[in-house]
Amino acid sequence: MAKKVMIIDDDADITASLSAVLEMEGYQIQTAHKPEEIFPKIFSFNPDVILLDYLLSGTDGREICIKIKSSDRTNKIPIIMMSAHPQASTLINGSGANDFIAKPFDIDDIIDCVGQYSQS
Amino acid sequence: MPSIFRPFFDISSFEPHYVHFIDDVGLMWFIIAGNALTALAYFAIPVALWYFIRKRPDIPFNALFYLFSLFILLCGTHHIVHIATFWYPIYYIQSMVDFATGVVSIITAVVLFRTIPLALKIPSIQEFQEKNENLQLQISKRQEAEAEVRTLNAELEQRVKDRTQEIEHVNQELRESEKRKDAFISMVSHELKTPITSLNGFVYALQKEIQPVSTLKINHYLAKIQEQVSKQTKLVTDIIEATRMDQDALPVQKNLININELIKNIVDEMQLTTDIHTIVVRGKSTKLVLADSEKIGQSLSNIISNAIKFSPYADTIIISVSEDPYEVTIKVQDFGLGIDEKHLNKIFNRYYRVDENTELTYPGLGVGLYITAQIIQQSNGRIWVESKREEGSSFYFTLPVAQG
Repeated sequence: MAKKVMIIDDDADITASLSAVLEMEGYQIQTAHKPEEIFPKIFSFNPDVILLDYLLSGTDGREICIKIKSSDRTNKIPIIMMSAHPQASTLINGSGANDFIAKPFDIDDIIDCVGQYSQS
Repeated sequence: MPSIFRPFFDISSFEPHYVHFIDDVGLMWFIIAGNALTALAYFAIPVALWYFIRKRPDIPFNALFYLFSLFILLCGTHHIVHIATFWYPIYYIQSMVDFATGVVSIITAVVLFRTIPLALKIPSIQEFQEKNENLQLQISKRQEAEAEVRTLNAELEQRVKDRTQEIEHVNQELRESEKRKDAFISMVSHELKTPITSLNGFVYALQKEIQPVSTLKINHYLAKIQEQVSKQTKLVTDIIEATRMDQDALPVQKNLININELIKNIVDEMQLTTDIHTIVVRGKSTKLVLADSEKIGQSLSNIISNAIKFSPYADTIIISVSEDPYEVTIKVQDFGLGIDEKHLNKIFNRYYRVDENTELTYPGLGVGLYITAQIIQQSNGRIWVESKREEGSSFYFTLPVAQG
C-alpha cells in the first residue's frame, strides 16, 4: 500500500514540484494551501506523513502543528516542518514537530526524510 | 636735685627779659603773643604730619616726615622757652633746646637735599592720571574684545549645536535607511528561496522522467541547471546570513570539537572541488576546542575556497595547525595572486570585494569573509591575513582551547 504524504504550503509551485518528486518515489500525495482546508483533508486523506510549511501566508504554521498534535485523532502523524528560515530549527521547539528541513532543500534529503518518517 | 643738673636751673646770675621792656610793656606782650602763636602752630603741625604719615606708611620718604615733625616740634619748644625767659632766665635750658633744634634741622636739611632728586623722579599727578586714563582705555577695549569673543563663542556653540542636531538627524535617517535596506534584502532573499525550492523539485522530477530517453547532452544540461540552482541557493543563503549578522547575532552553538577531524573532513570535501591544487595539512592539535562545528567548518571551507579561487596558477594549498595553552591557530596558505596592502584591513568588511583590473573575474558578493570573520569573532577567536601580491596569501584564525 502506497504511503500517503500530505503537503501543506501556500505556494502552489512548491506543492506541485514536491508532489511531482514524491509521486515518482511512489507516494500518494494530497496538498493543502489554506488553513481551513487542513483538518478536513487530514481526516479524509489520513496521511502517513505531513509536510508543513512554517509560514502559511501569515498564519502561524507552528500553531497549526500544535493543533494537529493536540488532537487525539491526528497527533500520531509525524510532522516535518519546512521553512526558508534557517533559524526555524530552534523555533519549532515546543511545537511538537518531529523534524525540520530548511528550504531550499536538497531533493535527496527530503526524499530520505519522508521515507524515514513514513515508515513509523 | 642732683648737683650735676644744678647749673641748668641756676638762674641767679641772669636777668629775665622783662627788665628790658619796663618802658614798653606793650611791645613785650606783642613779642610774647607772636611767639605763643608760633609755638601753637609748631606743636599742631607735627601732630598733623605724624597722623598723616601713620595713616599712610606707604608714602615714600616717610623718614623725612618724621624728621620734619621732630624739627618743627623742637622749634615750637624753642618759642615756648623764649616766652619763659621773659620771667625766668633759663638760658642754659634755652641753649640746649636751640642746639638740639640746630642739629635736627641740619640733619633734616641734609636728608631733604638728598631726597629731592629722588622725589623729582616721581611722576606728576597729571602723568599718573594720564597713565590711569590710558589703562582704563585699554581695559575697556579689552572688555569690549572679551564681550565680542563671548558673543562669537556663543554663536559658535549654537552653530555647533545646530550642526550636531543636523548630523544626528541625518544619522538617524541613515540608520533607518540601513534597517529598511537590510529588511528589504532579507525579504527579497527569503522570497528568492521559494522559486528555488520549486526549481529543485522540478529539475529532479524532469531528470527522473527523462531518464529512459535521455541523451548525454540532456543529462549534461540538466546537471548544469542543477549546478546553477545550487550556486543560486548558496548566494541567497549567504546574503541572508550577511544581513542577519548585524541584526541578530547568529547563534553559535559551542561544543567540544576535535579540530583535526573537522579540518580533515573539510579538506577532503574541498579537495574534490579542485583538480589543479593539492591541499596539504601540517601539524595537529592535541586539545579540544570550544566552537560550533558546523560554523567553523563553514568558515574553513570559505577560506579554502577563496584560496583555490585566487590561485589559479598555483598547485598547493597548505593548512598549518599550531597551538599554545589558550588557543589553536589554523593557517591557510595559498601561493596565488596575493592581496594588495590597501585591501588588507577592509577585506573582512561586509560586501567588500577586491576589485582589481585583472583579466579574470571572481564572482562573489563579498559576504563570505565577512560571515567567516563574524563566526570566528563570536567563537572568541581572532582572524587576520598576511599577503603579498604575486606571492600568495595566508589567512589565520584562532579558536579558544577548551579549558578545564
